[in-house]
Amino acid sequence: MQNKEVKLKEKIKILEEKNKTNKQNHSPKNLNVGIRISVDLVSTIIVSIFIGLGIDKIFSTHPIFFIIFLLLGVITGFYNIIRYMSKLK
Amino acid sequence: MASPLSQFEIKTIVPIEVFGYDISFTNSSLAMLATVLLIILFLSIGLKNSSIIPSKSQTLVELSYEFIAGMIGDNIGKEGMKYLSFIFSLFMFILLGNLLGMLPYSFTWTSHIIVTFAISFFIFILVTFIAIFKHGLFKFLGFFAPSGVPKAMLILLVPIEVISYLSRPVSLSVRLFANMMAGHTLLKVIGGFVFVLGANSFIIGGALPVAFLIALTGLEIVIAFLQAYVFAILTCLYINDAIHLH
Repeated sequence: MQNKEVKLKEKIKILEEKNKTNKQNHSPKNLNVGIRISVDLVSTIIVSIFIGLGIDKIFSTHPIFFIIFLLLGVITGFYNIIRYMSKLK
Repeated sequence: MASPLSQFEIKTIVPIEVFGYDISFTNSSLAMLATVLLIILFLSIGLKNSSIIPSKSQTLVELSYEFIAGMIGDNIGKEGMKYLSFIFSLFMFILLGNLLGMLPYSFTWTSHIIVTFAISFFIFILVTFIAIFKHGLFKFLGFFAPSGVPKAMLILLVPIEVISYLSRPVSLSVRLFANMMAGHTLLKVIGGFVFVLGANSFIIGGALPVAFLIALTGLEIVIAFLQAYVFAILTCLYINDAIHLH
């Protein structure tokens, strides 16, 4: 009898642990993180390219501000990702 | 066979033109109107005979209310409760718009960048005005210069902060639009496989894409919920940034 009880308790423990890891891997919050980061990187680059092209059009200095803001956009995108990831942990 | 992108075509139903601008009533407007009517129907049926012991439909309404209220409580705090009606209607509008698009022969208005960009741009303007009215213009501009940073670094950090602030409406709208459009295009492409493979292999070959299609439909419904949730939670975060400014 007692042997059976101990075995059952062990089984319950193993199952509970399995449940825990499963929940961590499949919670929608993780999917949310992936979706957020991938779009954030692209959108900062798009916005900064438009800013650069706009400034170039005003001062007619075609490639200079475009290149500067393109680089700034890439830096911003990665900076935001690093900031977001460090906030998670 | 129709192209997988033809489902996103705008078709005019009632042509209207004001001062040379085309503001016709289209299938997109019809889908939005249907979404609003669906929300009104859902809420009014749920709250028709409201009682302390809720009925099934009332539980659904209360659940959605509590979901948004909890989200605001977690992300903004007590000051955010006055934005509850705004975020609740935003969430319901996008969620039911996404789910309505899952019905065959319907139209997914969330898969058009101009619609989602209009929504997110208004949120962006709202958030900026909240910040300026709450803290004044000077303090709002101070938001772009993080404190405790050496002055030489500010030359790099201020443009970074400004660009990431300006990119908010773009990332908010592109996220929703891209997910919905990609999902619906994929469904149509796999749907085309069913026809072609089934016609060329005595129907047997069509079984595999059909199974895939069913799984993808489930995934698409999950994404419909998730995107509405992400849109609402990011709006909460932006309003939180505007209220507290760091």
